[in-house]
Amino acid sequence: MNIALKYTTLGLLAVSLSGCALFQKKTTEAPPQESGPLAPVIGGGAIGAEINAAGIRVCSDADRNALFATLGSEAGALETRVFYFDTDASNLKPETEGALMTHAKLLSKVGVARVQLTGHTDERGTQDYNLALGERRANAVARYFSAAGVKAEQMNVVSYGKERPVADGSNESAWQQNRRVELDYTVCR
Amino acid sequence: MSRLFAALLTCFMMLFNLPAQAALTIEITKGLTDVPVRPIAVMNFAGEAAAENLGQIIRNNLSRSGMFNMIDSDRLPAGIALTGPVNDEALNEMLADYLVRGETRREGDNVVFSYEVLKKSDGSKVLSNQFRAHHSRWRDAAHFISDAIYEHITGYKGIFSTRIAYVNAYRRDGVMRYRLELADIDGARRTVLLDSSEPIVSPSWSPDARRLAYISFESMQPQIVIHDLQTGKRQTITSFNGSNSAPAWSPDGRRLAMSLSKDGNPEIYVMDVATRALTRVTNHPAIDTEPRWSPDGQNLLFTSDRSGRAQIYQLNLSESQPRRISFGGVFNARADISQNQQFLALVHSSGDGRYRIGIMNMENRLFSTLTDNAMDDTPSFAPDSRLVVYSTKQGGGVGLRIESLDGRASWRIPAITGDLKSPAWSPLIR
Repeated sequence: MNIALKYTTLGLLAVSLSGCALFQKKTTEAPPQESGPLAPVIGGGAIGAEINAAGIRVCSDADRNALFATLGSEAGALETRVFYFDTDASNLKPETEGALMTHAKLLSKVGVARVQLTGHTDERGTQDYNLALGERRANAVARYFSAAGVKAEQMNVVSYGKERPVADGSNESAWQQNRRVELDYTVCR
Repeated sequence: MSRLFAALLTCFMMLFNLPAQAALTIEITKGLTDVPVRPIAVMNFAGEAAAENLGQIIRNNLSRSGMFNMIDSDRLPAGIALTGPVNDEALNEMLADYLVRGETRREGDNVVFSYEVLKKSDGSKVLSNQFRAHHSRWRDAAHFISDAIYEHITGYKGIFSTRIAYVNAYRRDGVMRYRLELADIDGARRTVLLDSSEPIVSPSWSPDARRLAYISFESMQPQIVIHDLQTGKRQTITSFNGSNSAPAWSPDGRRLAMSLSKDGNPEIYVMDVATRALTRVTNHPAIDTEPRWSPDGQNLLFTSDRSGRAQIYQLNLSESQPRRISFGGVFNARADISQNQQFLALVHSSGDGRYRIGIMNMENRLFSTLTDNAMDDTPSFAPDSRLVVYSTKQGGGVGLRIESLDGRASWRIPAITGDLKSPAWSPLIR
C-alpha cells in the first residue's frame, strides 16, 4: 500500500473527526484569574481621580509694584522677567544681564523677597532630556543671582522642559519664544 | 570580520545615502522578514452571545500586525460553515492557508468561548481552545484568541492583549490639563487613570504590568509617583530638590532607575523600591538622564551630553565607567531596548533639524532611521521586539504612531482631543 495515500486517509479522518468533535470536546481551559481575559482588569481601581493643584502663588500686582519701587528709577528694568536662550544652550545672553543684575540687586536688598525660576525648552529633543535642559537654564540664572549676593533660600528652581510652550508651531520663531526662564515673584513683603 | 564588513557597509552607504537607506534597513532588521505573510480566513463566531463581533476584532488584530493577508469570509468555498464538520475538499479549495472558526455560549454571567484553527495543507486542527470569561470581557477574549493564533503561526509573542500607557494633554475651559491613560494597542478602550491640572511625564511599567511609575508636577515640583493599577493607590516616592525624572523599572520589579539632580546636576540613581535606598551610578557634571534597563538587568543605557550633545551611553552595573554607544548624528537620546536585547530604538537627529526614531542593531551596531517625520519622541518597544510606539507631531498636534521594524505594520492611535505623548508599551499581560 502506498504510504502517501495511507497518510492522506489518516489526515482526512483527522479532519472529519475534528470537525465532528468541534466545540463538544472539552479542551484545557486557561487558569482563572491569571491570564488573558481572566486576569483582573488593568486599571480597575479608582479610575480617573482628578487633581487640581493650587498653582504657584505669585505676589499681587500691588505688592510687586511696591517691592519694585524700592529700587526707584532703576525699577524699569524689572519689567523684564522672561529670559531667552539659544538652541540647546544654557549660557546667559549678554543682553539679558542688565535686567538680571537689577533683579539680583532688588533680591539682595530685600531679603524677604522670594522668586521662582522656571526653566523651559523648545519642542525639539526628548521630554526628559529637556526637563534637564530647562533646569540647567534656570540654574544658570540662579547661579548668576547667587554670585550677585542673592541667598539660596530666596530662589526656587523648577523645570517644565518642553511641557509648557508659550508659542505653538514648529519654526524658529516659536522655538525662540519657548527657550526661556520665567522669573516670578512669589513673596514680596 | 562581520563587524568590519558592517562598518565598511555603513561607510559605503553614508557615501551613497539615497537608495542605501532601504538596503540598510533590511540589513538591520535581518531575520525579521523571514516569517512569511500568511493568507488567513477568520469567520464570524457562531453563537448567541457573539453580538460583539469577535471575528471582526480578531481580523483587525491579525491584519494590523502586517503578518497576515486576510481572506474575506465570503470568498470561502461553500462547504465551510461557522460550525460543524468542515468539508475537506472545501478546505483545500480555500485561498487561505489557515481557517479560524469559533463559537460563544452564554452561561449565566459568563461566556464560554471556543475556537479552532485549521490548516489548509493537511486539514489538521493546529490549535483549539475553550475558556470561560465574564460577559463584559469579550474584547479581552478576542485579544487573547488573537494572541494565541498569532503566536502559533508566526512564532512571535502575541501582543494584542497588551496595552499602551500615555499622556493626553488637552484643554478644558481654555486651560491645559493632563490625563494619564491606558488604551488597547488599536487605541480602543481608553481608560483615564488620572486627570491633573499639572503635567504628567514618562510613565514606566512595572514588569508585572500592575504598576506605573511616572513624573507628576501636581505639587508644582516634579515628583516620581508609583500608581497601583489594581487599587488606584498612588505613592510619591521621590520629591528631592531639583529634578526627579525618567523613572524606569528594573526587569525584576524591585528597583527603579531614575534621574535626580539633588546633588547639583542630573545623575542616574537606582532606588530599591521596598526600602527607598538610593545608589548613585553616574558621576559627571553633564546631564545624565533617561535610564533604561537591559532585559538581563545587568546594564543601564542612558542619555548624556558629556560629549557636548546628547548621546547614548551604556553602563555595566558591575563597573563604574559608562561607554558611549551611539555615534552617528548630532543628537541621540531616550533609548529603549527590545526584550530580545537585539535592537535599540532612540530619538535621533542627523543634524538636518529633524528628530526621528532610529533603530540600532545591538549585534552589528548598524543604525537606520525607522521613521521619516520631523518631530518624534519617546520610542517604546512592544514585548514582541518587533513593534515600536512613539509620539510624533502631526497636523499641528502630537499623536502616537506604531511601526514594525520590518516595515510591514504601521498605524496611528487617534486622539479624541489634544495631544497624545509619553507612550509606554506594557509588558505581556498574562
